[in-house]
Amino acid sequence: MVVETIDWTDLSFQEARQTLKKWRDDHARRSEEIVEIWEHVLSRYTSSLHDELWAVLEQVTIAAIDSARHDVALQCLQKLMTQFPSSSRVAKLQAMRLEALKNYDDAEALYNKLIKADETNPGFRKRKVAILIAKGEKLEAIRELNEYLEIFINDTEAWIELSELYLKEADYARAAFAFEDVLLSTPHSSLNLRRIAEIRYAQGGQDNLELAKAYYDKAIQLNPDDTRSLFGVVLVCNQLANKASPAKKKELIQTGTRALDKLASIYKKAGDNPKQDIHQRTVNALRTQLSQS
Amino acid sequence: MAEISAVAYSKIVLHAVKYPHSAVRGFLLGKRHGQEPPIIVDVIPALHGSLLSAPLEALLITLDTYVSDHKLQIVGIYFANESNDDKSFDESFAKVAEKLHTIYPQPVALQVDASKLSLNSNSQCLKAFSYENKAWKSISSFLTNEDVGLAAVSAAIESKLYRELTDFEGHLDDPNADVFNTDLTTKIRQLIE
Repeated sequence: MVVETIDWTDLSFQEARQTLKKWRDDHARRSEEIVEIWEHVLSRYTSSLHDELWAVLEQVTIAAIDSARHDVALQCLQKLMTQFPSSSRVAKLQAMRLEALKNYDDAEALYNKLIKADETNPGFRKRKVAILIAKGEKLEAIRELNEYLEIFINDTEAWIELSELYLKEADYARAAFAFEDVLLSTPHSSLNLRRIAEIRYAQGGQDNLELAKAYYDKAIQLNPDDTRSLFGVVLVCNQLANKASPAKKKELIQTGTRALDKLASIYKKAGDNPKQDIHQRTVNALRTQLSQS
Repeated sequence: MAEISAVAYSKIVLHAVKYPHSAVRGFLLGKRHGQEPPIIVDVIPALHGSLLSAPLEALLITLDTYVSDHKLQIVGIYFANESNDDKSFDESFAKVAEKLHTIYPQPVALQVDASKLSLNSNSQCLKAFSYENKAWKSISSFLTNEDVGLAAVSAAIESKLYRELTDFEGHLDDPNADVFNTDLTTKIRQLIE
């Protein structure tokens, strides 16, 4: 079986510590697993964590709130409140817990208090937008986030969130526009190039398809093994080839074929997949489709 | 009336449980008998993030190969909204099903009603719709064997089988991951026996 399911309850102290550190660095949202690792392993080694304990407690608190484990969240919050009695960072966690309990008014009041004490802190403002999203007030959230971004113009995370909100409204044009700002600060991110390619592809139309192809090309240059980008560039070349001049068509078919060759070699190595042959046949079907475009 | 197998039902619920903070979407596979509503025998989990057409197109081309092998058809879509309180119909994804309409008449849409999802449900959590005369209308749905189906899902969630589910985005991240969830299907069947 291919899917690697690790028993998180069985890790050693070091493995647990390193796993949580990696997930902190990656901002990974693996809340259920984080709580498991805490409950079954790290909670028994709090003294061995030394100063790392506080970062771990913060991480576990958020994970516990995220997976509705309010028992664990309270225990961790208690420890943090005792250690850092007047910390706004800890107060933010308390407010997040209120959010999860759907006590939005109290959460918002706490954030307003925190903003008043520190106008420059972006985190509290973003939580207020999160409350709007949780309440389903999508258009309000978009409005507030746009206002926020006029002040905190380089907040990549906020631009990504804004783009996501537009995607949920099927407003691909604004989603692409917002994501352009993400690219400004992450021009060499294959993932982000792929993302904007997909948004442009979804938008459709000649200009957007050409943009999509350019972004896909760059994404593949940076990550040649990315299956998702490879499929994307094949699809876009296929579409563009339909209406292209003979010279342009030749170039598009070449690009598409190169991508299909790469996909073929990726799937050749995917021996652990019991349905490997389905994917190989799909690549062949795409080859036929491309040659007929 | 749409009939849903235990395997199909389990995979839909497992997909939703695996990504609790996202919308999830997938395709329904089934068999049709004339004009009657289809029997949904399996599902292919597709996305757990934003709705973007490129990965869906790649998946549909992949499914073309699969369904003819197994004498199945794509009979519709399923979705679970991001927020448990959001009961709205996924219009954007439904448009994908509407486009399938030319090949597969009267597609079905199954919506997960999150308020009915629990570890010990005594009723199934799906709302069904059928696309006829250019509109989606509510239809009834039932599990082939409700007691068996619900028990299987509870057992699957308790043993955290959702960690073994792969959707198409997961497969694209790791081509060794099986979007057809062959091994998971076997495990779900074992829970039913």
